[in-house]
Amino acid sequence: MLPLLVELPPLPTLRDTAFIMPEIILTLFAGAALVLDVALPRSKKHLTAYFSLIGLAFVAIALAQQVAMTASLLPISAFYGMLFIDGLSVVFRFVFIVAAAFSILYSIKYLEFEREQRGEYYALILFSTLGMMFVATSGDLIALFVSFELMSLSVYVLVGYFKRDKRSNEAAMKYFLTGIFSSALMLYGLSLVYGVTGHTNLGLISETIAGYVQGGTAESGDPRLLLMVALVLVAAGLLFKIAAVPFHMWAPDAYEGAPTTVTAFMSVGPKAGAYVLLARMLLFALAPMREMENLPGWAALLAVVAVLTMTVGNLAAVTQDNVKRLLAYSSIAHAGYILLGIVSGTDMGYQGVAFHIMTYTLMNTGVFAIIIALHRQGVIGENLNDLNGLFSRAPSAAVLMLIFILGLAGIPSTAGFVGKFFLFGSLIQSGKPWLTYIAIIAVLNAVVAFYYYARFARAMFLNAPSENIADASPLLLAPSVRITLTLSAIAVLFFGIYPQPLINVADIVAQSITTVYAQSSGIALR
Amino acid sequence: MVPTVFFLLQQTATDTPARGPIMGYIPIALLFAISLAIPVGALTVGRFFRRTVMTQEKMMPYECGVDPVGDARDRISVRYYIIAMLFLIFDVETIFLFPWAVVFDQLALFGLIEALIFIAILVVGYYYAWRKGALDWA
Amino acid sequence: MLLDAGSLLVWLVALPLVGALALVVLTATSMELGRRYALTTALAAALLTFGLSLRLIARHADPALVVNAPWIPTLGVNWHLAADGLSLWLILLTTLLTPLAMLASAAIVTRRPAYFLLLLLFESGLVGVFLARDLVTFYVFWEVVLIPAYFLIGMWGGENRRAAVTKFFLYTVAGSLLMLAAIIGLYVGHGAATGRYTFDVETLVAARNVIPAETRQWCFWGFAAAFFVKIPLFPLHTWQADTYAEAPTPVAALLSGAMSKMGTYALVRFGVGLFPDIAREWATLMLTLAVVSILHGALAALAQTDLKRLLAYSSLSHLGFVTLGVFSFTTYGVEGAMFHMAAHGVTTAALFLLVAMLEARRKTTALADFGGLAGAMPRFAFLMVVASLASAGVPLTNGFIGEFLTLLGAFTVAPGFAVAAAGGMILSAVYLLTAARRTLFGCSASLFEAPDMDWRETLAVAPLVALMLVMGVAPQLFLRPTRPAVPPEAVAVSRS
Repeated sequence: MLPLLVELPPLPTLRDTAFIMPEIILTLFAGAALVLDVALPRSKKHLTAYFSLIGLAFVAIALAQQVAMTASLLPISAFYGMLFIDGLSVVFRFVFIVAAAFSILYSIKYLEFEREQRGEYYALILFSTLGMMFVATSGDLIALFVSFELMSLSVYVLVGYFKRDKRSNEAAMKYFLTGIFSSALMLYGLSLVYGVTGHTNLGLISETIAGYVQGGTAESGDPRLLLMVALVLVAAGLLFKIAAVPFHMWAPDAYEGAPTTVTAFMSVGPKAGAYVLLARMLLFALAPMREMENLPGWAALLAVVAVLTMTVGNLAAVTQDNVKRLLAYSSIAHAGYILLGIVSGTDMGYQGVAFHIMTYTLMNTGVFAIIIALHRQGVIGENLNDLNGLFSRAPSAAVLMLIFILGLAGIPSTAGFVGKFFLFGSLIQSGKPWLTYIAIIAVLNAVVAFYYYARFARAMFLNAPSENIADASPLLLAPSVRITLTLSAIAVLFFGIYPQPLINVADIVAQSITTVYAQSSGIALR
Repeated sequence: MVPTVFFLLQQTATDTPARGPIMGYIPIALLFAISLAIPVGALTVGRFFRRTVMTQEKMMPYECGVDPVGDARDRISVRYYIIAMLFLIFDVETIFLFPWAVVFDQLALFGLIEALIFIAILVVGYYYAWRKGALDWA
Repeated sequence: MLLDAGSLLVWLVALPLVGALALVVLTATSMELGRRYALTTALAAALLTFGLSLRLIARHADPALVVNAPWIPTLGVNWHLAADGLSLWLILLTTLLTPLAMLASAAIVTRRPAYFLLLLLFESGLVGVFLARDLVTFYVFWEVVLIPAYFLIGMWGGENRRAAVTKFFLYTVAGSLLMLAAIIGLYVGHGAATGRYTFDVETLVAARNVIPAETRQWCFWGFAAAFFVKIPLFPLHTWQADTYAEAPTPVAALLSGAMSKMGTYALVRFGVGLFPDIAREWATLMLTLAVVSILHGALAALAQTDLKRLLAYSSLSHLGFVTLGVFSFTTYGVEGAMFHMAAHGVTTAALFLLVAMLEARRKTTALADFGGLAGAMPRFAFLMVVASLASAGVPLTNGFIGEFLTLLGAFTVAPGFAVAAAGGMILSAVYLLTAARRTLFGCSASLFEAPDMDWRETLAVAPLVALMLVMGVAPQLFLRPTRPAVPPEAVAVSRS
């Protein structure tokens, strides 16, 4: 007979609450943004955007308090191991904040222009950011999944935000259906993980699996087989979210149909969130399954996916004429590069992952900001031809765009190069011959990528402006946007020429990945 | 049959770890079988004892009491879904509040504040839905 | 101290860069101001280099002419620049050609000073390539050169510039990415063997034997791909004629005069320096490619009807001599190669600049559109004849010394190749003199009144022509500073 009242562990104290202060503040602001929207008259709706930006600033300040905590590199566990805070979670939450802030900033004029200025938009971005931030701090399967869904659901709605636009609706529907399908797969995989190990805590799962992988349990058959199924399901769900081949089909449609500002956001924010979840699952919970005796580990699986992803992404991008579709494929290719860092399993690889995600956030939002600025009434400005002669129309915008594009292409002296250098280098550094071959494939891929990135440069600088009346109207670049873009471009160049400061930050992430795994048992429960 | 079931249940209950993960699911399989057997059995038994008089209403397909004649692609007001969704949200809220109420003694003031925050978050959503006119049915 | 010897090198790279940044601000203002400003910056860089070279000539191996500071400590990347006799003439060439190309560009560029900004960036990248002693530093500069080149050709080039520039870009990028893979391969190979991860060239050269032979074999080909595309060497040369022909002519002067030297210079310093044994192993193949380049370039040049394409193929042919010299692994050959790099840079740049002047007058570079210019433009005709003779390798000009030395080097190890290459020398006299004759003399269908060169144009070419003669008469002046810097690997192996 079960006792009706179980003995509860000691209650979480205010100490634990302090650890989620950034998230608490964000929740308050997101809720307040919703209410504010209802309270504001139609002409003042854009104030919600500024309100949200202020909120993000507060969140960043609160998060800054946690920076000191990660100095020791030891993760801190809170709420009975439900959350833990380590270098990875702190760094990536900053990335999320930056991604959200940039997206909001670039959206203000765009929404005004589309006459869709409503507070929900900003509230949804904030809620999605909240989900990402909890993904980064979760140390438990349930918390991970719930926060991941909070992030995804908000984005589904955002994709369909232009409810009178057919393409936006179609994109939202596609994204939603494929998205929940992948979530269901992942959830099923997570349930199997729980079933096999009996734990939802990532640390305990890792410990249990390590036991299975090393010894196995003799009488009851091989639990690794069931774990393989779980692994494949979880990986499939996650690869869906980062649009890795063969789960990438939704990306071009969703990117193209979504409002451009939302495309900008989802290509950096939720994507980075999915990478964090991938890192938590593969590099922590399922880390012992990297390579197994007699069975393929996830490293081999992920390597195949990575190679396919970058190759398909790059080759498909070559033939695209729509800028948003092109960037969708380019982001697929970048997902492949980032997976390489996880496959390599070296410190250098993890540094590369973190470095590349950080700089990719700057470059991709920058590119999208310019495309948003090209937007005209009647002319959508999404075709590569619409960039023709941009240099003669708006030299500063063209030069900014060029810097971001060079960064995405990974030309030396931009931050994109350093990221790729780490990612490709880590493969060679790992010392395994098959990874060296992958590195060569990656290099060849980069050549293909150069070709389609060069098309941007060609359109903007080499082609004559197209004869279009709409071209005459000025670009939609508010002074604040202009300053932010300039700063991002300078950052892309600065971190390309002197990357050490950002490498140090990336190293915090890499160290926390290795440290957390090494000490998985110690942090499972407080 | 009943002793067999109990025997199996005992076996699985004691031996779970040794039999591997699949064996632990036997009680669930049994529960599934029993729950399937009861309605099927009841309907089958009823078939032998009841008298059948067919009327036109009885022959019509059952659809929650709504007259099923007409176009299947009838439009239903969007508000219907919104109300359903709101209902669902508050339903779930109740599910969370029950366990909270059970251990309220031990949670004390801290638990009270937490629950209030939880409700407050829902109230924000409720207020938003209300102001947006989701509750006006007209 | 901002002016010690080491920071002199940094300034050499930074000066054009700073100038370019300042031009960003000036872009908004007047065209003429931007042009003058860019020219001043380029002249200042030339003066700086001149000062540096005086110092280098006085003391061959100046240990103070080094900057070595940690750049990305996590990876062991250093900001390592150094100047020696190998880099000397090439940085001097680059900084000399840049202002001259600017002088010759007045007719082409009328609207945007961005052209000059790009030229300065180009200069900065080139100088960086010639000074870098760390593989990552080197790679970064190597790629940085490409970006301004892309825009210079793509925005101010001829009719088919877009196709040409895309071809150029893809060839170069494919080569340099393979080089990147090779750089990482060396880095890892060295790190795995010694536990010290570094990109420092001197360290890697010293410790080359610890890296597994197979790795080095692969890495050699990675480097070779990048260098052979850049030089270019047969069969990777197909981008060259299109690119040179479509590029604005002063830019073509820089491409042919300075940029192609990136490949040959790097071949000596890195290709042979890091992999002397492997380079030696493949020497026969390389010599064959060099000779094929020489002959193919010369024959193709004979068939051209356009002056710029003719010069492009002539460039292919002449750089074949450089490769020939390098892979002869003899003192004469390598020294001749180093000399010929500078000589060819001066000569080909002068020829391209002269063609630019014709183009400015007639908006065409087709051979058939010219003739009898000697009457209308005597000053031009004189300079053109001297430059053509120098390029053809007539004694008392710089072309003779360079080609003679490389042939001498090749003859001692592979007489057959040398004889075949000498055939290329004869052919070059044929096509260059034919071209000169057809533009300058003869009864032409298009007699026209063209103004002779003005002071600005003369200023752009005359120094180069003077240099051709000086180099031809007093080659020792130029050979002596280079000699001690020739890497021992480049010649020592051949004696074994």
